[in-house]
Amino acid sequence: MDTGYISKVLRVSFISELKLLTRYVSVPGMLGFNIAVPFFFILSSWIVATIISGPSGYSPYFTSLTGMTDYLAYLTIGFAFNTFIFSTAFGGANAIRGEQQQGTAEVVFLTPGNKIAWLMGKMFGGQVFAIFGFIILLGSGFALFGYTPQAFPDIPAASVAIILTIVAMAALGFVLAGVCFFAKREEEISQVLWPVFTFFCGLAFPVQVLPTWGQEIAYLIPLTYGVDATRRALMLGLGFGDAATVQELLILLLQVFILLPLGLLIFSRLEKEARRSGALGTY
Amino acid sequence: MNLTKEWRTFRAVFWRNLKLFTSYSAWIVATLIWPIPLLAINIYSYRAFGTDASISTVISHDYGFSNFAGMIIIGTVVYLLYNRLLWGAGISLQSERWMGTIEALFVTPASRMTILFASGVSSLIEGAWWVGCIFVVSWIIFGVQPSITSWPAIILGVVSTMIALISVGVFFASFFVLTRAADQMASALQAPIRFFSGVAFPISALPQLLQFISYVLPVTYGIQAMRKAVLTGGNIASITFEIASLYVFAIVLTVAGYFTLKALEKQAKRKGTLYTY
Repeated sequence: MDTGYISKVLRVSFISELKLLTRYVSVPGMLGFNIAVPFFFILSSWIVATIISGPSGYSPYFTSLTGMTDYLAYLTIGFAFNTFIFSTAFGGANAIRGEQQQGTAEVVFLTPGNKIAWLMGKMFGGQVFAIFGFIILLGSGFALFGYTPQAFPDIPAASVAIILTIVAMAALGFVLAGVCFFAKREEEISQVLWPVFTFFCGLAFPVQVLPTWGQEIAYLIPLTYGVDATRRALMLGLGFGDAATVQELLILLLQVFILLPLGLLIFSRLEKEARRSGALGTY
Repeated sequence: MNLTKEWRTFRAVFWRNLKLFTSYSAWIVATLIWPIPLLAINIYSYRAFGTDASISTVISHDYGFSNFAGMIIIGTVVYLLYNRLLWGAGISLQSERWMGTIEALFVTPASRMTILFASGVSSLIEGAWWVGCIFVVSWIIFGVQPSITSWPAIILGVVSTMIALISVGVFFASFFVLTRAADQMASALQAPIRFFSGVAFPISALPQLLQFISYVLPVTYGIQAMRKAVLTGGNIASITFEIASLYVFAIVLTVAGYFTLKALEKQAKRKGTLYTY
């Protein structure tokens, strides 16, 4: 394995993705799409809270489920994770769809360059924007909606939870990228999966209110643990000294070790099959 | 106006769009599945604050809807139709740009409005998948029992909402001629419209100032008319205000869309920016 060559492919792919992303970036676009969309979701949930719990929005029922009192901060953290869903889980499929539409998928996948490195470069490029968007969203959300942590926030624990979630979700990103060779319509795949993640992973409401089968699905998805561990660290100040948080981080780590090789394997198989069946270029 | 020519244009665009839609099985499956988790998110957002019985008591007492899931389902159906039309008719001219055919289209004598209306009607057919799917799901999963006393009111409500929403798509399509980021704009519009039109809650729950914004959105009236007709046993007389408002929107937005499109097309042609993307 020529690691020098692989790192070159990774670097070139990363830079190309960054250039593509910055090509259409505008301040109104960034504000409108990345900030306003999650904000309105938060506001909708807030109105629901005030309808049921009164003008303060404080709900003892919600607190009994989560141990948290600040529902708006709870939502802000949950919806900020959207940026990682789009960049990590859908970034690879989006890159392949882009090549298909531009008519360059065959060229890219028939060159001797390492395809995993190419895909990782594309996904890393998206991550730069996702991390940037996550920080802006958290900051502006806390500034606008308030942020009342119940203890001093544990930033290192939250950072570890976020990083592990990104890596674990990348496994799914590889699988979806492989699926995109055949399904083609990446937009529709992400359109379906985004609300699925939002529903199951506790972005908008506690996982505990889901039916038992729903909770079983939720606890198979790394995002569920990542969001919960981040919330516990930022809102309850629970980090590496808390058994439940450590357990969640360990499960995330385990998922990384299991899901990432599996994701890479599935992608390689699907890519091989796409080349064999001539499905690379068609769109 | 040559009606035969317009009909041929309409038919050609309509069939082309339907063929595009049915060419991708992933697309059809996605449109069937997508609304289910979206609907479930709205319903479970309420369940974070109490049991179904306690939520229904509050919604019934304060807002007159005996079933809160039904209220959300109607809101979601109308919103999805709006959403489909924004992405169908609204984005149709931008799609021509992506496909590299916008210049060819804009130098033909075909009426732009006919093209947009045909895109809108084909989008409605696509949107019908969603509506059917949501009703079946709501019946099976959420156990919603509609309270219908007047089918004519429902039919009138559905048709009037569709006409108004097509005009929304036509109106936005004209604006999207000038921008390279129509998809971003369409995405950015979804969340505010969803919020202000009261998809997941009655708009009377919003602060008074925000309700003024709700009342300038046609989606609001579509949702209100359908909620009255399906959930509270409303008849044609009880939804007259909403229906009249929907037709006022349809006329105003179509006329505004026509003149805006004409002006913006002229500007884009003069600057030579039709093709660039």
